[in-house]
Amino acid sequence: MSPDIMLTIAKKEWQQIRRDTFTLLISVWMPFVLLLLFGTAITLDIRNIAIGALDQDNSQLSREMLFRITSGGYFVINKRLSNPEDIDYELNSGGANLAVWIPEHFSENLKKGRNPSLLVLMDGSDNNTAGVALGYFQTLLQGFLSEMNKGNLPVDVKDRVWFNPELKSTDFLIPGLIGIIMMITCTTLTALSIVKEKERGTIEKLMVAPVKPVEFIIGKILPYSIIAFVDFLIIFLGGIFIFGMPFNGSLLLLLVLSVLFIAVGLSYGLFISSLTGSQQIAWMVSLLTTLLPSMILSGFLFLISSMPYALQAVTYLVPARYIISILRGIILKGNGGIELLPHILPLIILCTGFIYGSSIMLRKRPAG
Amino acid sequence: MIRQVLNIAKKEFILLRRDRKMYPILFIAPIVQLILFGYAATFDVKNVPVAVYSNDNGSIARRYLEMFTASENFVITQNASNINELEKAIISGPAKLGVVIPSDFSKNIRRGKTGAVQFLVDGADSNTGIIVLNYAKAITQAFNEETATTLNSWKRRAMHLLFPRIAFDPRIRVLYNPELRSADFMLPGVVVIVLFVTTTILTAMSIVKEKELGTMEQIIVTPLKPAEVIAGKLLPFIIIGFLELGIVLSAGATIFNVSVKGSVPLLFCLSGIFILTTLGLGIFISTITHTQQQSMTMAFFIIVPMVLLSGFIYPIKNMPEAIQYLTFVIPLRYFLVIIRGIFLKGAGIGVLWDEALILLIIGLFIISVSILRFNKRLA
Repeated sequence: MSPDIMLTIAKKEWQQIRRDTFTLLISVWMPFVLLLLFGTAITLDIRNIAIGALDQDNSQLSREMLFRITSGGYFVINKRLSNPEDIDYELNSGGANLAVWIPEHFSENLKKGRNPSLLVLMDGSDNNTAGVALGYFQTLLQGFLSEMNKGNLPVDVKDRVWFNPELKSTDFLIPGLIGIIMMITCTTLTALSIVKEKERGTIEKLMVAPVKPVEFIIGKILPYSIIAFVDFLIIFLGGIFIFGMPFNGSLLLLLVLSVLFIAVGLSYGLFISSLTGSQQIAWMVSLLTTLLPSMILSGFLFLISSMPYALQAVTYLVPARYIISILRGIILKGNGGIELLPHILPLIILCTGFIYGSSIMLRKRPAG
Repeated sequence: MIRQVLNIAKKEFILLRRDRKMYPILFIAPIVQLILFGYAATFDVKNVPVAVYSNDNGSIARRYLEMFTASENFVITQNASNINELEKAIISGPAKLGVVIPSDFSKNIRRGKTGAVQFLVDGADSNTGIIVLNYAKAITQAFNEETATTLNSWKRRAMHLLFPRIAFDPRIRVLYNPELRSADFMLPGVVVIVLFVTTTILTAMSIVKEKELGTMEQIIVTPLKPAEVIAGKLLPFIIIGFLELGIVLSAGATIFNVSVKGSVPLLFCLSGIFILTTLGLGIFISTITHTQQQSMTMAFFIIVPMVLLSGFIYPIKNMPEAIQYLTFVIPLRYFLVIIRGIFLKGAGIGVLWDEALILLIIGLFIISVSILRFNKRLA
């Protein structure tokens, strides 16, 4: 291996990238746009759920109850309905997500201990919002009830929330976003750049040149690792300085591990490029196998323990799963020791696996 | 005119048929997406690991913890022997909830006093954190109800006589998706995404490929009109779009048992309007890029923000107001409302006409701008 040759190839690649200002622009713009989207527009916090209220009791107690439900900011009363037929229309047209129907004599029956019923209708078509909204709703109702029962509960709860006490979803999403962007850019850029040479036949010219395959590959992916590192910095620094993401861990450790993340992405891109000779397919495969699994099967948004077991098993093969755990561990929890090992080791194994796999595939087709 | 269009469409089909490697991507990818979004993309909170630090071996404390184990939401994975161990379980994982029970818990409750429990929640995952806390509190509420009615404490009985407990019975009914299955919610969304991604990218790529290979010039010198070229090139992708729609619909019905509540012909009709916008977008991308790689990157750059802002996973209502206005120009937004309405609520054109109209206007606008740009470049 000669560093000179590698640098020459890296230089050639860099010139090609520079000439293609379009791709360069997008690989730097994309993370920035995504950061802005996830920092501002996209939030998992469910607030302002629209209620259509039909209060036929119209007593002090029923008004008090509705006030209590809406006071936390989770629910707003969108419409006061006057007859039961309106409920259907409101839910069907999406004017309200939830309808509360307080029947006549509700408070009177309640005070006399007659256990009056309260009808709650929920639009379940968005199951996520509906599930969370129901949870809030029941907690608020129970809180209202136990207050009316003058406390004296057998068990009283004090809760403390760690790492993200305001439970802001931005703090949770941005570290995950770093992992996803790095996987996508590293993988697609590497796969495309190598496949492009295959498609144009320029790879044969390089093969007959006195360049070893290792030198060729390292030289080729060097510029892309720099782009990926810049992407990493954009999201990380943007997250901290624009969106106030906390940083509780060791910067040095994060930087060292980011090299590992880049290596995994690059080796996977290499593996894809060894499987196919067409840019179109390389692009589709790398997007399909990085974007979707990194977003869905990594714990970025969805809890892995809630998935069916077969899919839980698949998540062990998704590098983003480990990358995101490490990023959240360091950034939010200040992890910095032995507890990160269970995430680091699988990444090393996956990385070697991809490199080994692509070397086998390349050897099978020596002409490329 | 029609003959010319059909001839070009035929040529395009032959090209597509030869590209065997695209088959799995065209037809398997939608099903993979369906499975991923249907099964994995769920905000359900189940089997959450819980660490417990309890100094109380009394029967009441045990009963309280039993209620955690009995719920499908929690699994007690660790019994910590001191508070440090409990904290460590949360810091280094896997526990997301820590429950601390003091030594006088059972004793206090038996005497009619209040037992104090502490919850430690890993808030790093804000969404799960909130839900976990809600569930844990709900379990505590249930335990309180149970204890208040069953426990024989003279003090509690006296309280009961003095202040009879009042209660009401909330009857909760969930409409349209009573089991709150994510497949029901996701499937219509996946239909939209699959249609959007494949038709946009395929259109852009097929035009740019001709540019890249230089065959576009050959077509231009033939006596074909630009409109015929475009119509002929788009026809196969319209057909593929409808094919994919059919695949996802039938896969959804067989794998997930989600079937369309409303009218299927209406669904196909309105999908036709939507495909107009995606094809227009594809042509537009092809006019601003020169190579296949560029057009793929550009397509990605346009598609991802559109999907994120469309309300596919994240409700538009939760976004800041300025961004909510931005979503009005995203055609996906309207089509999602249409397709979810038809799928889940069985809505008809009477409820959906306004979305359909806006979609049609956006579609006509995009496609005419793109064709104008395309013509200008050919001239």
